[in-house]
Amino acid sequence: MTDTQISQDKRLVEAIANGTVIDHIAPGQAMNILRLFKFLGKGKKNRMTVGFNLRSGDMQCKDIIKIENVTFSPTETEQLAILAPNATINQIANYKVVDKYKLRLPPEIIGAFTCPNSNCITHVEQDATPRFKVSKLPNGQVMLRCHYCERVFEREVILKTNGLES
Amino acid sequence: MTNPLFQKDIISISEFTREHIELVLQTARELKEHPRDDLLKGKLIGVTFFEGSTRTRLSFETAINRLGGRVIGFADASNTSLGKKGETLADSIRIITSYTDALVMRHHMEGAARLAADISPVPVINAGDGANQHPSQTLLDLFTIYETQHHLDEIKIAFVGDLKYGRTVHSLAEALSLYNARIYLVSPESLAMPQYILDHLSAHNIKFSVHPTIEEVIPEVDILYMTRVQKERFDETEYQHLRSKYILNAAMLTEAKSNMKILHPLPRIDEITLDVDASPHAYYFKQAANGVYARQALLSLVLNKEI
Repeated sequence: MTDTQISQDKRLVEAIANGTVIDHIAPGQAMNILRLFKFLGKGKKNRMTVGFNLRSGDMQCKDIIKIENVTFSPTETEQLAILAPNATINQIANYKVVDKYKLRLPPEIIGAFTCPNSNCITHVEQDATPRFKVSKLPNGQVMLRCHYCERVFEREVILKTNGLES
Repeated sequence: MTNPLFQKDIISISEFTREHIELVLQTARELKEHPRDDLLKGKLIGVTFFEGSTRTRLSFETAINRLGGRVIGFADASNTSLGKKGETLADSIRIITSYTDALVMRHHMEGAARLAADISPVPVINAGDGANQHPSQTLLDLFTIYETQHHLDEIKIAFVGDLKYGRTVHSLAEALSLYNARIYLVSPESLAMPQYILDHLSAHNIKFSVHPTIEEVIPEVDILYMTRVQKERFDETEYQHLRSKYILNAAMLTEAKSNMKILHPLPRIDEITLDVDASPHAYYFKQAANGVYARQALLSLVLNKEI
């Protein structure tokens, strides 16, 4: 990788005035995050730049998304963590990084995804906010267990049900 | 000392430890041998069946009445505010649990009992939530296994019939994974035990095997747990073909061990022929009767600090 290439990628991250840069997204996952933005209604009027398969110092390849004038609530951050467990969030204000943290799988995720089980009480009762315990199998597979119906789903099934195919 | 189930919700067998299970079984045994009519004296229990289930409801109501408690409730939701006026389940639960000392509840949707427990100020006992959990059934099954075999550890048990949709076998298999059971699975391929249950068994180092016929497991097992293969899941030709494989008759029992007992959550349709009823191996009606003792034990423990 040349210095010019790194500098170009870095500029891509730094060029935002206010908003959020999601960096170190596993290659290919940026499309799914864009679907999540659509799901959350984030992408409507805000300027976005998306980089696919950019060179990265510590990853062979990565995707980057920058979205202006948008921040993420804790629930939305949990959703992002399920989609891109190792990505980094950079909060930008006035061209400067004011907060930076790595996404981690939360132990529990509340109100972020609907339950794939169509006979789960969460589909009919407003008091039953969808809630999943998150765990990781020894082979790395992320599983989510519904607090109410107790069904256990692979991460991919949850994402597919919520229109966020991985 | 306060018993560990006092004022606790009983929603899922997955929340039970060995100690909890053994406390319930020991209490059930004591109540069967020495009936008590005072343990729920002065207590009012809501028995709310948003979905009908005659045996489970009558078993709970019998348990409450035998222990000196009183019951309010309904046998189906069609004539309630929830059924007729569109009241939410959550609001119904808030009202009913403001009247009662505990709530026994059955509902056709999975997770309904957990929702009730989350909002109820009094203990909730799940009497079945859709295809999910029915912990008092599992406890009565365990009580019956213990009663007939005098132990739970390393029980050899065959599950026969609909292993895909049968929550009874899922929960019992899960509970027996605490006891190093040996499990034999006999079902049509289309009604096989779900992978997540098999994964759970593997994670607990439980040995299991899949078998095409009942005959080959009968000589091996202590408990033959039959379930109903539901006719409506198959076309007529396929169902008739399966009938011969998953129907138990008396002639098939000649190789059974003397201690072997046949259990069934009932209702039995035609998967156990009537000639089995007279066999010393048949235990399903006594199992149903044990439901009252298991439920007496649960209610007593949930509503009494000490017994």
